[in-house]
Amino acid sequence: MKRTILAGVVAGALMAFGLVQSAPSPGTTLSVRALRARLMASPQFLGASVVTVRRGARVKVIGTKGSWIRVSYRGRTGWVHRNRLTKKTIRLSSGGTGGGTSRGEAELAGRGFSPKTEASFKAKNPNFDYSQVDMIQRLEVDPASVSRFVQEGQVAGPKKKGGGR
Amino acid sequence: MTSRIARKVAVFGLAALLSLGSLVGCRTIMGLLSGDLSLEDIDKDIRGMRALAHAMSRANQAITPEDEYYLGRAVAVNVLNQHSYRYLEAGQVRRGHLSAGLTNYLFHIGTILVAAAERRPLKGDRTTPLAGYHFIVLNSPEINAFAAPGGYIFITTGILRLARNEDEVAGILAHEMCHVIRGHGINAIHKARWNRVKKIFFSEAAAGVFGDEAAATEFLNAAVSDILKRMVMEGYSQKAEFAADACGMRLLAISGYNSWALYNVIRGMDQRGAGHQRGIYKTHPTPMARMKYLYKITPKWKYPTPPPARYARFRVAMGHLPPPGTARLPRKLTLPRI
Repeated sequence: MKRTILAGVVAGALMAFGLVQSAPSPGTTLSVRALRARLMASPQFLGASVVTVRRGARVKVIGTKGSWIRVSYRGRTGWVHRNRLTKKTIRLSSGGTGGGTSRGEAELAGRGFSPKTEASFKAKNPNFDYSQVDMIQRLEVDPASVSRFVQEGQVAGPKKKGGGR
Repeated sequence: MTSRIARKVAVFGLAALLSLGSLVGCRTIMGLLSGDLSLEDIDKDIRGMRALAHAMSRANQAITPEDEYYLGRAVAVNVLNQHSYRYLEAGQVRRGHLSAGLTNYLFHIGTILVAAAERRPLKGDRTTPLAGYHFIVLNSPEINAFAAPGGYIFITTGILRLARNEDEVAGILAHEMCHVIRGHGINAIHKARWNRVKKIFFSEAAAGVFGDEAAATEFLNAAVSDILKRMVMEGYSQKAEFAADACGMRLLAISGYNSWALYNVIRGMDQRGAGHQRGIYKTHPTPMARMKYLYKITPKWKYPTPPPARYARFRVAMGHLPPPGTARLPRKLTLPRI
């Protein structure tokens, strides 16, 4: 029991520490890590968005609220979830690296895999049709439409104790 | 025994909250707790949390979201090839913008679940894939669904026909998304494969400068084979399947869908899938074992009857299912060349 309490205290401290430490201060510049990130009108996943920004875009921090960061990008401001951003600068590739990354696009390379790896994989397996994956990857829905979908279907959880929700 | 564990979980949660409260101010904590049924209550009521309370495996730490992107694409292209994939709603897919139909419906439900997972991540969860989640309908009579790293969720028309309402569709998607969130695909990469690429993946070297391209390509081939074998042929481990059930049920609870929906759809598999030998029946624990587990961990909450609109849109979406006669079984899986 003692150990459980101690672990809980440590977990709580870490959570708080993480929050304080990783909240970027206003004025800092961050990069978009996700392929596409929507700047939301308010700090939530579903609802109206202001603009969509692409990987590598540099955004300026205005403020934070929990895991959400209020940023400005080319004169527009909105909220982005922390997971979509990175402190690292993402380079723009300077030439044809193959594998779908065209000139001027933000580089997408991990520790081991890069557009080059994908190009060699394609060469080894010529029967695989990557164009289908590319098309599927482009599909997305508007979070404002999903927000209406939630309201229309009243996807709102269980009843409150002693009353409906 | 159960009450001891419940007490432990409660004490752990309380201690974590108290220490957090002392650091960030008690008002925040009181705010979190002021609702009748807060997100904290959800985790307190779910008794399967222990199954999910493990740290991220080394393999999962080594694969960055950027690496997962390429890994996922390579696995997805194999699955599409195996199913001789044809776009179900070709016009929309080509425009890249979903406006109506079955895929659009799945994306709406899926996006609600993604938001739930991100709102309340668990220790060891992978972050949302860089390109988000993709929901793909395979026109196959097999009762099956699977998930590849990088957020590719495949769902057959066979399993969709089993679902009786929107919440049950959400249950299937939530279980599959949890395989991605908990990194089960990445964990399926055989341990021996890592030896040759240790220096690449387990060091903090800047991306793209490792220099050993041949080793990286060979590793991608091998990793894709390992994942496909587990995902399509053998199934993830029993432990991973139960973990995905617990995590999936939790996602339903957080999202506002009925947390019993996963139990209900598995019961449907048990009752109406008798005699099936393929797909989920081959790769997953028996429906009965999964039902027993979910019955134990799903909170006994009361849900209001969903409005007619939720059922109506489910009927409309299911109306877009292609005629049963057009469904084709997948080809035998050919693994990529190593």
